[in-house]
Amino acid sequence: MEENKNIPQKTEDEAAANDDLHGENLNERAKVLSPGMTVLKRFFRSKLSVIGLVVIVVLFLFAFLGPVFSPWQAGGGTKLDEEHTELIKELISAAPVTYTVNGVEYDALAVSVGIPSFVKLGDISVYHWLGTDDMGYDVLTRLMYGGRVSLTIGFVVVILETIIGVIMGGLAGYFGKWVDNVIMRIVDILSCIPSLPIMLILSALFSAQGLGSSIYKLYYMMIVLCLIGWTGTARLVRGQILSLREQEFMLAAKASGLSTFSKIFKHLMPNVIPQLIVSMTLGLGSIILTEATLGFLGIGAPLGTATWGNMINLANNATYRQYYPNLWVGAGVCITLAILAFNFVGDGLRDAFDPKMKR
Amino acid sequence: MVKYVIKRILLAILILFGVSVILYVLVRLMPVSYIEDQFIINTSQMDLPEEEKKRRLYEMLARYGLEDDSFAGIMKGYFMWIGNFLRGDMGISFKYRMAPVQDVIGQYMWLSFGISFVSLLLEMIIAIPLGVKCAVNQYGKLDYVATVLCMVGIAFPSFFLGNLFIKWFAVDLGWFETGGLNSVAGGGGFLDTIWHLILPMSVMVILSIGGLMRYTRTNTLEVLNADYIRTARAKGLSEGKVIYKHVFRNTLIPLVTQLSFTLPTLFGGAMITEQVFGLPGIGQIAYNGMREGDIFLALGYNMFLAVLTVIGVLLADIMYAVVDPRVKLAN
Repeated sequence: MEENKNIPQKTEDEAAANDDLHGENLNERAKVLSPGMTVLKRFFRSKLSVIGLVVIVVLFLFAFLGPVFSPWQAGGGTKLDEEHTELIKELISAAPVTYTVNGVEYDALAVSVGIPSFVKLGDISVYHWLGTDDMGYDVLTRLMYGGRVSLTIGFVVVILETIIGVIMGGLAGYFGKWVDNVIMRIVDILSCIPSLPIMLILSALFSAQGLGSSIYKLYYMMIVLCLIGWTGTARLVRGQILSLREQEFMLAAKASGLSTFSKIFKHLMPNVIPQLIVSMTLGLGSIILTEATLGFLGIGAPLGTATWGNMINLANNATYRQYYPNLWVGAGVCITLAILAFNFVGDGLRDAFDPKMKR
Repeated sequence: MVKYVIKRILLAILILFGVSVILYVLVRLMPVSYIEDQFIINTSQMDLPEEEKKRRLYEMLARYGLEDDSFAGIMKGYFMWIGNFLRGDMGISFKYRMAPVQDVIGQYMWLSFGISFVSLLLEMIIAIPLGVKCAVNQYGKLDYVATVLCMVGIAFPSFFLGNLFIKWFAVDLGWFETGGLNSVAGGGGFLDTIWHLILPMSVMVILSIGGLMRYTRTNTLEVLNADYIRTARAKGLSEGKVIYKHVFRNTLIPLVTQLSFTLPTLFGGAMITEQVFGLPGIGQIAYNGMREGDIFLALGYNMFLAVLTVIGVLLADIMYAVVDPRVKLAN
């Protein structure tokens, strides 16, 4: 059955190849055969990966360009719109109290400083497309600013993890023997440490160091996450290099007297890059999930900061969960979409890079 | 085989030793300490001079090896703790009635285990046949729909899905309960508990079914391309026989190893799902203990997870050789 299915495909491919051979333009033919182009072509042929890519682009535009078009701020005070200023005026004029002290009359006006309470937990309106949250901030704008933190952190952590993982895995795989033994034992130990409990402890630790109210706490926690999270990449790189270093091109590299550094990073590493790109893309999704989990537990960025995790934290409150879904569902949807999109793209890339895949 | 297993066990002990050092230092660096907080609360009403209070606190902490926060002090405390740990005494949980940590873990573990175990069974019942079916009809309609749904399931954060479910199914529709184990305090029967557990279990199944299904699918695809399947077809076996006798059985080989890796999640509890649904499983107990600085519970729970992880990996390797006689365990 399976074989039968494959046959028409193969003939199609061959037909295409024959067309190319008869084509006049040599450049075009070369283009078609370039591996990078083949990967791209295969990648864009898969609908899911294209959808994923589009979602990622939209999320980035939303997070980084969106605030430009928003009249609101995500923190540090809410700009009141005209309607609300009118309301304040009304309130002021409606409530003058007259006191008489020592024969002199005073008009007292009660003015509350800060965010007026009527803006807090505002409903969905023309002014606030997703309403306002418990602090009076516009939820949609906070989603945009939150996206900046969540998406940036994902990239920073993944790049850092990959750098550490590539260096350690490369050393272990290339040198073998005791270097391999030491590094792999460290990898074993680190991968046995449960990450969520460690994050809990670190959060308390950094808060006690006076970082409790600063966004840097989240950054420091994520850096520590990198320090225990590189093990997967290291294992991947080591496994690849173990098989690659026995191949002929490495013998050639050795024969031409190349330095160890250039053998590892110029000849071995480029062969691992496809797998690395895939694992990085899939890693992005999981980092975003980690940040969101930290936020949900209230141990990530300080609670006032706009991040997707902190916004979904409000769902811990039964009243908000039930009666103000506009506060937290948006953040949840954004997190899910981001993870889904990165997984789609990662899967698409894996299939595109895989030479065994015929389709 | 025996030699290999012994070698691996020795290695595992080395790994656990390293893990224990890192964990102990981290936990000791934690700024909150339940026992100190309680001591301050309890002695605030007593009419004692400050010096006396300090002396008493020091004495009490010294009993557990927690009195000195310098490097030497932490090292001393570590050897005291690991010594007791190796003798089977994991210390005392200050928060939970001063009970030994191993008893606390033993008491709350079974609820988590029950939930995870039933979820895992459900997952396997749904995911494995579905994965095989999708692989056999690769790029078919069912394959596409199932793959997309699985990816969506993987992408959902547990707390988001849990809260959505509580809002929709528990409050809006009123079909299930929002959380906890019983509607009446003190127990409402076994069926009532099951009723409360449906939502958390469905969250767990939805979240992890995707991974298992995709894993099954990938493996089945690999098996389908194997030479012996071609042979089976060539000798004229019916398609059903090829799939269920030759493909399916070989698909199970990597699955058995994959299931060994679920050991930590099986016994260690789902911290966040238990949190969302207010279930008194080991995950939530440990979470609360860690937040309030219950030092020995934090240490005990994390070591418990680490031991489970190590056993899981070891089991996966051994199982691989057990189910597949072609695999030789060497080095």
